Amino acid sequence: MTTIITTQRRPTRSRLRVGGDGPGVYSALLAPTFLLLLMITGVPLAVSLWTSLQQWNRGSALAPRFIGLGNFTELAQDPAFWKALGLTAYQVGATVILQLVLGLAIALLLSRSFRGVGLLRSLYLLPMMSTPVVVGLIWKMLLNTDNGMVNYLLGHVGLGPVNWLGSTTWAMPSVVLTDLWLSTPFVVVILVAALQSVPQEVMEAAEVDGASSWQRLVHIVVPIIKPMILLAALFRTMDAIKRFDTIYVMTGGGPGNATETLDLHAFFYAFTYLDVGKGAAVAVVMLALVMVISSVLLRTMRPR
Amino acid sequence: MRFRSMRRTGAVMVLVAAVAAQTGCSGLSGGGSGGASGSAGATTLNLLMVEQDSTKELRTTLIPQFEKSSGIKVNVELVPESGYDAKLATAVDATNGQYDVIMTGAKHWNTLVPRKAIVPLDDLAKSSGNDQGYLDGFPHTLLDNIKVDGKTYAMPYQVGAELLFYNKDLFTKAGLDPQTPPTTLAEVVAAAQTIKAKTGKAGFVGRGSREANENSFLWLMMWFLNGGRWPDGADPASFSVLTQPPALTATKNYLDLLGKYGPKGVSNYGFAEAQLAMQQGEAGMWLDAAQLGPALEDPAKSKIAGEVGYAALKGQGGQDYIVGAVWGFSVAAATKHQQQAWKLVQFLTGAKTGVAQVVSGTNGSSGRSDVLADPAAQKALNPGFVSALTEAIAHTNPRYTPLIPQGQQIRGALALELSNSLSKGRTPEATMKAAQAQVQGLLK
Repeated sequence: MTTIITTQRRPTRSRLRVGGDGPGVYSALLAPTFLLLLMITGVPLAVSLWTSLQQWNRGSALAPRFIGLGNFTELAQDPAFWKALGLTAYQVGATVILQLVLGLAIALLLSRSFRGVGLLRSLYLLPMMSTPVVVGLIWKMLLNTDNGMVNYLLGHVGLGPVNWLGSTTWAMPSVVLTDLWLSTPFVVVILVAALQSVPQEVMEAAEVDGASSWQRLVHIVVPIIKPMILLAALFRTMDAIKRFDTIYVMTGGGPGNATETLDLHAFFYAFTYLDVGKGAAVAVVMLALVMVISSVLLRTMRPR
Repeated sequence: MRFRSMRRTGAVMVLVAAVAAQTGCSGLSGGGSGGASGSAGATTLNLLMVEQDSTKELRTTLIPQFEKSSGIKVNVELVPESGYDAKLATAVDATNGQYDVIMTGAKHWNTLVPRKAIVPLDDLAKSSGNDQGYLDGFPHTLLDNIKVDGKTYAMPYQVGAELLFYNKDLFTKAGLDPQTPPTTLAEVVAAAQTIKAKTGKAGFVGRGSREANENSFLWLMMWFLNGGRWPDGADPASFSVLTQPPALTATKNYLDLLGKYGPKGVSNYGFAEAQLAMQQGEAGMWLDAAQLGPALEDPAKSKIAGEVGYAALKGQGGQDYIVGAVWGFSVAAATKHQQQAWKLVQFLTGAKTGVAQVVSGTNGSSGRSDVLADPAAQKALNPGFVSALTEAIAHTNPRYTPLIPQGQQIRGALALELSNSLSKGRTPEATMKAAQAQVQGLLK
């Protein structure tokens, strides 16, 4: 057995030795990939940062002008920006927390053994495979105040029509509901896998010791799968912050600016008002936000 | 071994070179980033248009006819209207020769003209003469109204003049005479109130959503009818128009018509939802762009086909009181084939193309008066529609977006505050005060 392993390794070593196996070779081998990554991520990022420091309106005949942090200063003084930031926090907080709670509940259900569970697991993945724009359009039709299915069903139980997407009270909850439908399956997939790793003997020992189902969940299951919960939270948070498609399709940021999150705020600046400098500044703020939240979550995930 | 490896490497390099050469060639033959190009005597033009039924028909049916008769190859690119402004802003300027002919609207001229991205067409028109009545076919008031600094930068293709569409059946049920529709905005409000009270259906429907500034399009129509107009220039002091009586009256009209007499979910309605409400017979009146009207007469889609009335409303503050989204075709400054590009513009905005599209039903609101007067077109269209549209075009004003770089942002501010008020029930005064404050901030 040992001989075989030695035989298999030899050619690899000898090949590396042809050009030497020092750091220079590794760098040379990594260079093309690194350069490609730099081109497709680093360069656009640098251009975005540079653009955010310019006064640049594509609708104007004037050439771009360097204004330092001028765009950021203006954003800091703009109530609409702070409202967009608050709405982003609301949207992200509500969707991620509800998705984790719902996702855990559904994962607990789907990790049990019963007839048809395999089919149920497959069906539950369907929303995740749908295109967000299509999902937004479908939910827009379902939630239509005058002709939508949701109000039609509510009417059968004596509840009046609700102006889901046209009222400032209901627009954001409707948007959150859509994302719950769309992205909770992602959390379920991660947590079903995590639940498979919970040692059965520990659960049985706790049961023998008289622990209730709730106590087993809170004191055994959740601590064991905590890293996976945080991983799901990390992915979902990053995704929710940059969520654009469904909101744009369903409400276009309205009514008023009741659903205008930072993403839509940046979009309006850059592509409706053609103020690309300010649009880039909002995008940079979003990037900073994602980085801070991600690093906090990653730190929490690190084993102590 | 080494020779074989070298040979293999060489073969790969040859293949890569061949692919690169092929790509380069196809880029040239297709116009690519180099814009209009010629190969073996044939000229290729690149045409950028907004995606809609009429432009799709241009691409598939009519432009091939032009290619056959002229020997000019045309590459067509269609972009949805929601992303069209951004496309124009990034892909068209004085030095970028990606396109030769561009579909432009009045809202684009304030940015494309100062950037010298499109050329004046007056000299081209003069040099080609009045071929087969080409120029005489346009209403002169329309040609005058679309001039920028006294020059024409686009030939009109489609005039989305706002018309009042009404459901004759609901008018009768409400005790109103369908033969004498409202002619002023005040009469529209009164009729909407009656329809709502007598039939329980929405008296009026229109654009309430702020998406793509849709609601501001309807409000601007109401403002123009009440005598409001944007000032020339960008002096912040002269832009204090939103707190003046025409704007306040227009806002009251808007909030009453949509908020009190409109469908419950109207604050999220764009033109498509409004059109559907009319087609379903759920609303008595609808004020919107003319080209949306013919779909109401389609029995396959509309319950009110044959029961639709049309009217051009009368307004104040001059003769140019009808908001009209004029779409036209412009010649890019960077084109190397100006004469051929002009020939294509003439074809796209000519009478023959206009009549063909009216008959096929894809463009019911041509920018040419001779198209509407053509027997084939008149046979295809509702006579009431033709009569109302002819009158509306004579009063069309395409300058409904301020012709300054902040124009779209001003529309955005209006759209935001109107949407806020429609969903929160604010007064017209509070709405316009908030909008005015935003506009002043933008102009600082």
